[in-house]
Amino acid sequence: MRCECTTVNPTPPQRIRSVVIVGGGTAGWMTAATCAHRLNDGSCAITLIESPEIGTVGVGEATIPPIRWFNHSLGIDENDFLRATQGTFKLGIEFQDWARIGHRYMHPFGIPGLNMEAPVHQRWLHLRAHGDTSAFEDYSLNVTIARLDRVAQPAGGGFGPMYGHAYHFDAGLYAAYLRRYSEARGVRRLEGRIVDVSLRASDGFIESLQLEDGRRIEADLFIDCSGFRGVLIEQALKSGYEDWTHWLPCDRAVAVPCESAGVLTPYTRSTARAAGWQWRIPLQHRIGNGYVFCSRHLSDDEAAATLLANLDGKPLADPRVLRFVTGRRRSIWKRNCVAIGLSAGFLEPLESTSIHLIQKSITHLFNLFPDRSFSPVLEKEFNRLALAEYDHIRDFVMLHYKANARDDAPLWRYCRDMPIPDSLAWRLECFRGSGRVLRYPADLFAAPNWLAVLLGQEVWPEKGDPLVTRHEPARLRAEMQEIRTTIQRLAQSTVPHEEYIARHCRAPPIAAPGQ
Amino acid sequence: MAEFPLRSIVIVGGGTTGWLAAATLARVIGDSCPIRLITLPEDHAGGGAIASVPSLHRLLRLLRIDEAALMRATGATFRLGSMFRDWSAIGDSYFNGFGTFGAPLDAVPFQHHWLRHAASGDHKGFEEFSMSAQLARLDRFALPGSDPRSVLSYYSYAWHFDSGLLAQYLRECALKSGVVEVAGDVATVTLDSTGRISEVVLTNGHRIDSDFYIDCSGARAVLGSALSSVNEDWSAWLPCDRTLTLRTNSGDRLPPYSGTVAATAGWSSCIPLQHCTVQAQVYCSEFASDEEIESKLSAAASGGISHAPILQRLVRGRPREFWMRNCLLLPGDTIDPLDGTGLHLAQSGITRFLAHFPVGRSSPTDTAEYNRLTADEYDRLRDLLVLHYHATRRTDSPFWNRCREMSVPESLARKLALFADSGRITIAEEDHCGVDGWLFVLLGQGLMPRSYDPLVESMPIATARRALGGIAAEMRARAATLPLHRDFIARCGASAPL
Repeated sequence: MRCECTTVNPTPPQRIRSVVIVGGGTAGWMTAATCAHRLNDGSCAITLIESPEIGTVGVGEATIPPIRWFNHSLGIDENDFLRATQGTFKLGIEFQDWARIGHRYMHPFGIPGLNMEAPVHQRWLHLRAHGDTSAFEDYSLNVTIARLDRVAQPAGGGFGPMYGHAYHFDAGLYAAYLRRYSEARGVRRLEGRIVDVSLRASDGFIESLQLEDGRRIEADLFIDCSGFRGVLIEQALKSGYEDWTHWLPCDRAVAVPCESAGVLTPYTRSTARAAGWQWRIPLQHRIGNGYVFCSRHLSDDEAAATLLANLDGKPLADPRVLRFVTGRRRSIWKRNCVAIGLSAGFLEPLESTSIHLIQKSITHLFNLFPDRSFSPVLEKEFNRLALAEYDHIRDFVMLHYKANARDDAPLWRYCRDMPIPDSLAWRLECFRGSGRVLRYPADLFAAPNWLAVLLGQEVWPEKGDPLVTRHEPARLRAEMQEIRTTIQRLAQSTVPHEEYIARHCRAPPIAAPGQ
Repeated sequence: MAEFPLRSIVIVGGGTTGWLAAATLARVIGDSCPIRLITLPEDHAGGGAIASVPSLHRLLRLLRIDEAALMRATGATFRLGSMFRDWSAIGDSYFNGFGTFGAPLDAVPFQHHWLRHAASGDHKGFEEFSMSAQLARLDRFALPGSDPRSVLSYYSYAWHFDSGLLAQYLRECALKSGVVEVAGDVATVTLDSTGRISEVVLTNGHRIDSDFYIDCSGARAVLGSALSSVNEDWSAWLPCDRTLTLRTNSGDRLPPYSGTVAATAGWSSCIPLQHCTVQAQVYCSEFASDEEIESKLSAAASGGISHAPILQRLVRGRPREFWMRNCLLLPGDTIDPLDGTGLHLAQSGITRFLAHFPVGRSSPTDTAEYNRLTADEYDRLRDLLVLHYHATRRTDSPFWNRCREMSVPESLARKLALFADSGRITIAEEDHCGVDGWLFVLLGQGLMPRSYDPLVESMPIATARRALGGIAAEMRARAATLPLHRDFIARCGASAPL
């Protein structure tokens, strides 16, 4: 291959003059808000088309810490945002009955131990082999605080990387919040249903969209946030879909909100059930619930009945069923169209990554923002980076299913025996060999995340790190006790979750509860 | 004491790489595992110089080495980067420095603001936005500041060492931590029935057995060749296969950087030390004979030559596997020294080994991971080296014609294609030089992209122009306030005794 650089001064880019975003869910308005913020000199018209009769999915109500950077980059104030979205804090996810029935563990944000240098899990494994009974969670500040139903004050806590937080919020209200943000910054919103997409004969680029009422909408760049259907990326551009059902067999979810009851927990809960798992997401005004299941093993009615029998409070709506196929598009940027959100792919929200995948695609798009020449180099690089995010998160979600010791239902037996991607198999083999967590370039989930789930799902390494096991357990016992004591002490300096919300970001009451 | 998987480690080769490995291992695991090092006859040659990169700061912290003491003992000077001359075209020069390009103006990386400026015809050289280049131009140096808002925090540094003295210094560190030195030469390496090294026999008949071996014998690859290690061949991409080194008296100036000047069959380097200047010719033996190079070298080094020139072979490739059975290969100092990454590779090779330390007699997952990560690191480094040779407009010699016309590795081609389109660089993994290190080479070698990130245009051009002017003026002004490099060395107590 040759170098195609020149020594001639660059020429100014031919800027994109118009962007059309199709779909007004979380993905659509997150994209619109970013466009409004980053293309803010009035040179580019930004239009969002949403169809009034298509409801948004709104399952992605739990998030992971990078959402804070997203809001921050838009200049959004945390308390203002929490008030507007009935938001609460999230310090991690509790997994109930996943490793085996009756077992629970938490995947927290933040790094375990007091510093990043010595691998605390290796020391813990070493002591455990010598009869120590402390739990791995005792070394996580986030878990310790979460179990007390408290949060750090001020948010972030001044605890450095030991502590991390994200949010639970009403995705519908978040979309509405970002809509106000976007419209105040010049984004034009159109209501309408797309009936036809015309492609340019010369190169297959999208030329215009035809709305039901006869309007024709043209643009330089189209962003497909139309959800599972992929109105542009799939129906018009035939990108193709990679089906991952053999790896992630759940294909439906039934969702219902219910009244809050009891204390406001600062974490998401995921409870494994016979044919999938149930989520519980506490918001200020209600609790979001859903049962993600595999239709091969359970009917919609059975799933709904199980869900309704396992709520904290009175249901606030009728259960709603969603259907999906886990997987992703073969390319999510094609010609002058980029798919963001469910139009790009679907991974069940077990690790709250739906909104994160939206955010990541937006970040990659703005790092590689095209001009009107739509260089194929950018498209290729975007797909390389964005598709790898899906593959990585797929592996992380799969680990929960693969490493289970449940024997009560066919889904769990299937998952335990199913073949897994090489990338995950190798990661498991490395961990089993020496308790080390490998790292691939640009991994979202780093060693602390993998460790929480590996150890939580009771995957045990055969041997430990010799740099740790060479020490007499007695020598390590005192320093590990010191870590636990310090974490306990730090956890006491926090405030109850409920109290933090009441003091800083209580949302005004909502007239009609639920969506 | 709990059981340790290795009862002992033997290192073969006592140059900088060998002693660096010995000192590091002894510091971390010395009390659990005895470490011996076999020095080979050729280890005492000395006479050369080593340019390092800023990652070495981490090693000094780990080994608790005092910077000033190290510099005194090794006649070291500070290094802000390299001055390149005649690379893209005869007469062109650029400075590739450690540190950032410009300063963050908004969410768009700085290079796009600079490119927009260039497009508008107002061509300020990129070095005006590199603090290390500003200091280099004035031969000035002081330690970088820690206030992230000040341009004095926009650069970092490494050192130039006398390689013989550095090996000596690391040797003392290692011996103090309990490493046992064995002088001799390796006669045979014995393998057991499974292909593992069972012992090393010296020419004096002495037999040395160990659970694990580390090959630091450079291009000779004493253990690697016994294990039939196979190299990935990079000779199509990295042209230079020899260096010839000579020591001369220092001049009046003491530049805080190394100089590299492209020549008709390779390039020459000039590394300033406190007590001398080390000149070297790095070349391709297909295009120039050793005699030709030697006469060129002697002519350039007019006064006070204190050693006969030293000839060294470079390896144009890397082992397919760095960790084979019970042996680790650390061949970093045999790679083309253009980027000064020999020590860096030794350091990352040995710290990565500690992070993947074998859990038993064999440790297959750790071995495979070690090999994957190390190969990636070498390949990324190779790409940056290849870029220097390939991105040229020189047509004066067959050597440069071949470099210019070569077909580059695919990973580099992908990087170049993205840059050529709109000046973007994506780096998935931590590179030793970072995004800005790549940019300095690309822009320094005269490459320009077709266009740039359109998002810079949301900033009004007048605002951007003011901001750029401000950064350049600030860098120029602050650079002039720092002491001369020579004075700073004296002031910080790093002067070597005469």
